[in-house]
Amino acid sequence: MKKKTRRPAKATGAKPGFSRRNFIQTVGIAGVGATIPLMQGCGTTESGPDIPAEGVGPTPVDVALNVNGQDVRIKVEPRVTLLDALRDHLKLGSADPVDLTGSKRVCDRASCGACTMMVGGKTVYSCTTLAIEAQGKEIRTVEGLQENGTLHPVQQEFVACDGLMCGFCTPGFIMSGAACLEKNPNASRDEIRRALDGNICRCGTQIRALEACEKAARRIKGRR
Amino acid sequence: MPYKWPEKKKVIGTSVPRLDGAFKATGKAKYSFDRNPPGLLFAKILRSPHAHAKIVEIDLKSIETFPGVKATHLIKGVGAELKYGGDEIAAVAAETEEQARDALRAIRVKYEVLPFQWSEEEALKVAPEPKTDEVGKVEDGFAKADVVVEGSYSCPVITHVCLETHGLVAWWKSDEELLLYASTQAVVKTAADVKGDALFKTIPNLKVTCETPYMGGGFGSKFGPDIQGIAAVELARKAKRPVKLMLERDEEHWAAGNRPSAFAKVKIGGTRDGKLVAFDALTYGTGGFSGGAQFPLPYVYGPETSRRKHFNVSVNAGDRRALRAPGHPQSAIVMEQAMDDLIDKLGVDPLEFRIRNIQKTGVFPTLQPIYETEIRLGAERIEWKKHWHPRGDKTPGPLKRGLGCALGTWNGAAGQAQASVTIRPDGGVEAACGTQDLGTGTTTLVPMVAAEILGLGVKDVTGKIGVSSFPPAGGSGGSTSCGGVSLAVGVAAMKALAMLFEKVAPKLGCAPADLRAEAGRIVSSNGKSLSWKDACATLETQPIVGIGDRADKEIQGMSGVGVGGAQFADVTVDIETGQVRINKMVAVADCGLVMNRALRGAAPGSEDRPDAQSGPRVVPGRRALGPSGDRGPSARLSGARGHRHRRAAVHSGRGGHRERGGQRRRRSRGRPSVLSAADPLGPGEEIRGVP
Amino acid sequence: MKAFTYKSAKSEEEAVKALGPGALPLAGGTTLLNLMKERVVEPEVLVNLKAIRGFDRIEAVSDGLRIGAGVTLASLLENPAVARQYPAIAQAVETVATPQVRNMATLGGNLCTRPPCWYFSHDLFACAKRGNANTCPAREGENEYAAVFANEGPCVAVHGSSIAPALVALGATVRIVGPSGAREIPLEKFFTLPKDNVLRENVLGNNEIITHVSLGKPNAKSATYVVLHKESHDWPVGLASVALEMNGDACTSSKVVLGAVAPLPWRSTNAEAALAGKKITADVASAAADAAVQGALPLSQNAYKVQTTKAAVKRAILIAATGKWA
Repeated sequence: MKKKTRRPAKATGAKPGFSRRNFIQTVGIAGVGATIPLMQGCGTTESGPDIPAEGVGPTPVDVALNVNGQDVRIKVEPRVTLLDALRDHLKLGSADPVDLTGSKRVCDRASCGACTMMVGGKTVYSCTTLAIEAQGKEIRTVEGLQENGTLHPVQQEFVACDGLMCGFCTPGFIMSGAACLEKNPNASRDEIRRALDGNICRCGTQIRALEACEKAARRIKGRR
Repeated sequence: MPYKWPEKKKVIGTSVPRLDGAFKATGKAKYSFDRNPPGLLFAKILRSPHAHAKIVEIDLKSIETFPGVKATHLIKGVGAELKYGGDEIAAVAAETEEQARDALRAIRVKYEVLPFQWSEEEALKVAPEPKTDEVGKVEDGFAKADVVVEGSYSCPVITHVCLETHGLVAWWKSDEELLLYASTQAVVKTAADVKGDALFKTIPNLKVTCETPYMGGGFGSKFGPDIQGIAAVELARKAKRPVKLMLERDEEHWAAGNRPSAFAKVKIGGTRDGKLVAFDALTYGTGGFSGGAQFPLPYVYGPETSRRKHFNVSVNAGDRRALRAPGHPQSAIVMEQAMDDLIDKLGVDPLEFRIRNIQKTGVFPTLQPIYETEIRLGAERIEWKKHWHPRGDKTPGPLKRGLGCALGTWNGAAGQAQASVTIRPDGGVEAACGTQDLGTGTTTLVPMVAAEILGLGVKDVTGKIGVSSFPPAGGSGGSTSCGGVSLAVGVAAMKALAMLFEKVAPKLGCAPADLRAEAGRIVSSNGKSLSWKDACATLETQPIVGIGDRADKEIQGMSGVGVGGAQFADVTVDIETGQVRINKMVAVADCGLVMNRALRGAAPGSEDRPDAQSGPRVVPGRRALGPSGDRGPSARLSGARGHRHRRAAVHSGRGGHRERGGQRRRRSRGRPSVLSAADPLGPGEEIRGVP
Repeated sequence: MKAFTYKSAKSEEEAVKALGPGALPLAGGTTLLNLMKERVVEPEVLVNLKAIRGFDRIEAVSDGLRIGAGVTLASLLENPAVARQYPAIAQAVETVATPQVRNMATLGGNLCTRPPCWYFSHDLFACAKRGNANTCPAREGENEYAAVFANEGPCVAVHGSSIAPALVALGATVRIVGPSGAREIPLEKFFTLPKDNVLRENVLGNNEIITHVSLGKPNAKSATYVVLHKESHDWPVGLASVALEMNGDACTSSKVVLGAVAPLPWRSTNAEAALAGKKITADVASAAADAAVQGALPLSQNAYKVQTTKAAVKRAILIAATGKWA
């Protein structure tokens, strides 16, 4: 059973019988380059419109979502998932439709990764996230990876390495790969592979998807 | 004059990244599941909860007034027999998916539950008369054998698990014009099937178009509208609004087809000097309620004598559909395991025994040298000499490692296709074909072939596929599209070019036969030339359209039939936990003329691996249980870590394809080359394994 | 899913008030929402817990760690203290599902997960756990993944948490709040057998939630070994968590807890007895493994779990003691 390798915490002379102070010192420093708050998850992680005490629904309610930096308003029942809300409910009856069908519905059961989006900076299965839960969070989909018309390095490499065939799993793989490299541009081959663990391909592109992410990592590092 | 591929190729065989790659990678590619025309309704299908039943009563009327419901459609009425869990009964369309599902649950049906068959073993006892094929007399063969081995081999039913489920969006543009966005491997046939359906064929002047520029996988299961597609079209007609009906994941497992199981009791005999002398098999399998589960045996190898008795067995489960090289995986599973058992007892070299005993009839004599080369190449890459050992890894500890090898074959004849190549006075070129791209690369293939013939770059040609109103092509199945579409487009381009030459020749003071298209110019043997644009200007106002047809008798020697491939696996088994890990796989495929070097195809070993089955569990009295819910609907497809080392070398053995009596051209042996756009056997360029 | 009213609690008190008949708590949703899609669970009200202040906090306390029930599995995995001081937990968490699920799923939710049984998870089947008394389709049906201990009924499914055995082995406690206030109990006492109340897997009442999981002093000599057929995104078919108390080379006492074999984390005092006072060697670990599976009663399709469990126990012991099993 392999242990996950971690960067060692900076030595602080921590002794057994770990004191609270030692803990704060080590947690404050250790990590993978990103800042970790002194104590993880201090306070609530949720913000956004307050849900009244009596609740909302079951009939459709106004839901305000922030998707790829854009504010999007829809009216959906609480039971509508984030995936279905973005895929199906944005265009309907809208004068200025926003097209977000890039994320796909494949299993609808948190099993395959085709619906992977980043919510609050972390990859999630949007098929198993309620639209209403995603309020107040930063949502990113595959459509939001491009910058000023330039493909994200992961997208570029998927095209260059031919890391796709039918393409239905591709947005999900790209999101998982991009999230991995955003968090850790120095991710090893094994770490990238683990990051792609939650995405399934039926055509058989997994190896080239992995290759694409590795090449993208080199590209991203080359930029720095 | 017979058509032929150019001797020196400038585009074909080069590396052209998929033209649709960026669309797929950015989420801009529109699949059927993504279509949201204005006014869209969502539809769902009511299915039988019983393995076998009759409808006694059904009430659709009461849900017509359900919130959001806009149309209902009865598929099977009172008295209809439901033959499997999942069998379609009715359909409903509503404003939202949630409303459609709610309405579905409210439909009241009374069933008469009937006796059902779920066990393949039990169903075998009542199966119809078996089919027996014999070559020589197996008793004589076994008498000659030094070793005879008996064994039982099997594989279960598996499902296709296309990521995009089956279904379509039906949009009546008018009373007589219907647009379908169908997830299909056959745009022409899907449109034709809808048009010819009993519900619609009496509509005068009905025009049905199927538009499928992208589809999320078919693997043999998507060749028409299916029952749900027809239901969606009817709902759309009733509601006078577009309807989207895409199956849910569990419906895919129950009702969208499956790959039959195979059970085989085999007796196989061989001699110590390396001859396969006898093969006797009793086989059966189920393809669901229709029973068909045939698969060829003996497979690849030609025992001197053989006998094979096969039963098709029916159970009350969903019907089979072709799944990637239908029948052949089962054949390989049975044949190669029996071969391995015999080889082990004979104590002979597994690779030599295989090479020695390949069939001597049909296409196999041609494949013989190809198999030999493939086996040599594959053995090198998997380090066979270094790692192979007879059964029983003596390494201490619970991790045991071994190597295996298996051969496969397929037909892959160039399928039916027509194409048009249009050359415009302004120099623009369009190549169109009513074919489809399943991820197989047809989108890129079509303009590549036209560009090759016309002496242009790929970007100078607009390729058009995926619409049924384009020149018709057959469905993409059985590895027939690349060949058929290439030929049709190639010949269409040749014809269009010939017409252009007629116009250009007088301007260059020569005969049309003196002209050639090269590097964006039309060049005469007298030294004069025109740029492509200037050459096309000679057309003045009239574009040229060349039509190519695969069925054209002048097409000879441009494609072939029959391929053989070899695969190798390096596997470690933990004998304490039962875990199986694939360390490396090597697939060596014969793919003839390489069309696009950039397309690298599928990783080997995606199906029928110990960790890669997606088969439904058949449960007495009920539907086959999909592996949904807790285990995940795509449960058995391994993730990224399961695809560890992969190395794929491709060898184009025979070089050019050939048909009967045609030219045969050899490529240099051993030079890895990339798969043509639609090879079912597997992967592309030699890529480094991932350690 | 059936339509529901959505509420969001900002405090434990609000959560308790909002819960009650017809209402279910929503944390990560990875179990609940998909059971709701299958219509096997149909709450009228969902109460979101993720907005509860401090719910996702991990804090050092005088003797160990206090982990909020809303801490995601990913956060648990990223926490250096957990990895270093309670390796059995980290080793268990990293095998759970996929990165996306671990980003969403919470520790509290994982402890309260419903059984991974395909009959339970599908509304086509009558099932004792869903209220059809004396009906267990798994018992005589497809029981490949069912229990080999405590499987006399009325339900033969195993508990779905890969992390609970590690927490039990490390002596974790849970804090529960409800209408009658808060209480803290050993995690080992949190889980219940089907024969006590088949409708539940634990002692929580309708209006109660877990708020914290507390760990006592660290134990670096702890390990979890998980047998999975797929390298990712699969349920364990063998799992053992072990925590050793050592005196030099010898094991003075231990906790050995099995997963994937029973309706709750299965403490094996037999295995613990086989280790007591012994120097940990491969043979001793094997003997403990044999002891661990004594009394297992396989059903028609799950006898292999005896073998996978033995392997898991042996390997977990060796990893805990020496850092590796081979």
